[in-house]
Amino acid sequence: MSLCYKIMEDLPKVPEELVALALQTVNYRGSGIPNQNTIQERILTKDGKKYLSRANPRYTLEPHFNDWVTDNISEEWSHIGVATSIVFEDSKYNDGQVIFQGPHTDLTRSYALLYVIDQSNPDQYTAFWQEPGKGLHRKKDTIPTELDHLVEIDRVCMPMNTWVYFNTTILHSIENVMGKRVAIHVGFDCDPFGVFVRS
Amino acid sequence: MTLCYKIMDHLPNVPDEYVHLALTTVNDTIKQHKTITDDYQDQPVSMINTIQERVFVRNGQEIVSRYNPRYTLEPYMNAWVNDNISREWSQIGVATSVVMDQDKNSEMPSHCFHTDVTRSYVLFYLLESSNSDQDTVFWREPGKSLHKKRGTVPRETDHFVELDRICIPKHTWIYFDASILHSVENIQGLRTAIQISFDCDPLGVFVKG
Repeated sequence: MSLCYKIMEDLPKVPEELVALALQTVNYRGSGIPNQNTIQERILTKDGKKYLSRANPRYTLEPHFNDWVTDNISEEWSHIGVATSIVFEDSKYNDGQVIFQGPHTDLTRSYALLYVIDQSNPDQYTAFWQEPGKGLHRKKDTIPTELDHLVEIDRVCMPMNTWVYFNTTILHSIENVMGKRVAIHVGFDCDPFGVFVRS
Repeated sequence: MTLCYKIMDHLPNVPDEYVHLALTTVNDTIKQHKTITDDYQDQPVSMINTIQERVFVRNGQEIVSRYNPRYTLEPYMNAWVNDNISREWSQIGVATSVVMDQDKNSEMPSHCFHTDVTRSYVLFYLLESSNSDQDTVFWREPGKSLHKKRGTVPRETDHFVELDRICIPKHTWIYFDASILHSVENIQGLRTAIQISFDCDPLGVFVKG
């Protein structure tokens, strides 16, 4: 089994006031808070049908979380933010509700700690994929558009209010998002926890 | 022993035409300058890393680090690297070691402790060196994690612990983890290398599969 993620139960819970601040940041998005990541429309083919993937804009929490993350998680972070899952309004592709964010590697990081703080349904999951004939670890921002030949190698249903650490250079998708999914993200370019990298 | 690097002697040698092109790129763009100044940024060949003054303290003395400006080879080597090394690269370039100010700092033999700004892993292929006993040395700061964020440049380094070192042979691919603090020591003059950068570990050396 490829090592794709680890549930980091030894890391402390995020204090309630910071969780509230993260939820507030998401609620006020669009009022001038810049994205930490880029959002682009991704048209994907799955089961012979075209879909417009969900997207996950992320907004900075660094001014508020900097000290807490540095003291309680790691000082090696590259960004701290809160992300929320959205759908694009495009009737050409989306004849119903799109419930997945297609397989991709991340653009801005190699590893991420996720801490889900709000979700519409508890059976949302993150799936990890490998493209036959290609390496497990892919360059940043790899986005396959034909999905039917990908092989699922693992999946995790992330528990709420728990840090889950995963390797974002492995293709991953978010599945079964029936509505809301909000998470605090701490991004890393290195692996300060020594979970994925041999040492 | 901490895994800091691997000699990748199963990877193919770079064809002579690209070696020549890399050396020409360096000669045409870098060696004509005596000092690192803003005009490095204005060269016709794109520079793919940033240069800033780094001062560190060794044995109680302030020292200005050497620098390693790197210029793109992507338009020329793209296809060869894709076919012979990996498709997952983020940069392909040639870098050469220079001093910040040739008049004041000409004897500085060290490229000080750092993690790289633009990559997590790098394949390094040494083309030229003034002396054959230049060492790449890997370090850890006691009490801190082995893997550090990008662009980490500690100023006080006398308490750091050496983990490993390698005298990189010429015309051989060496793969190393650029998120471990490293320095380059005993550069008496020339040091020029082709470098292929990665944000992931497609060769499966450092990251568990």
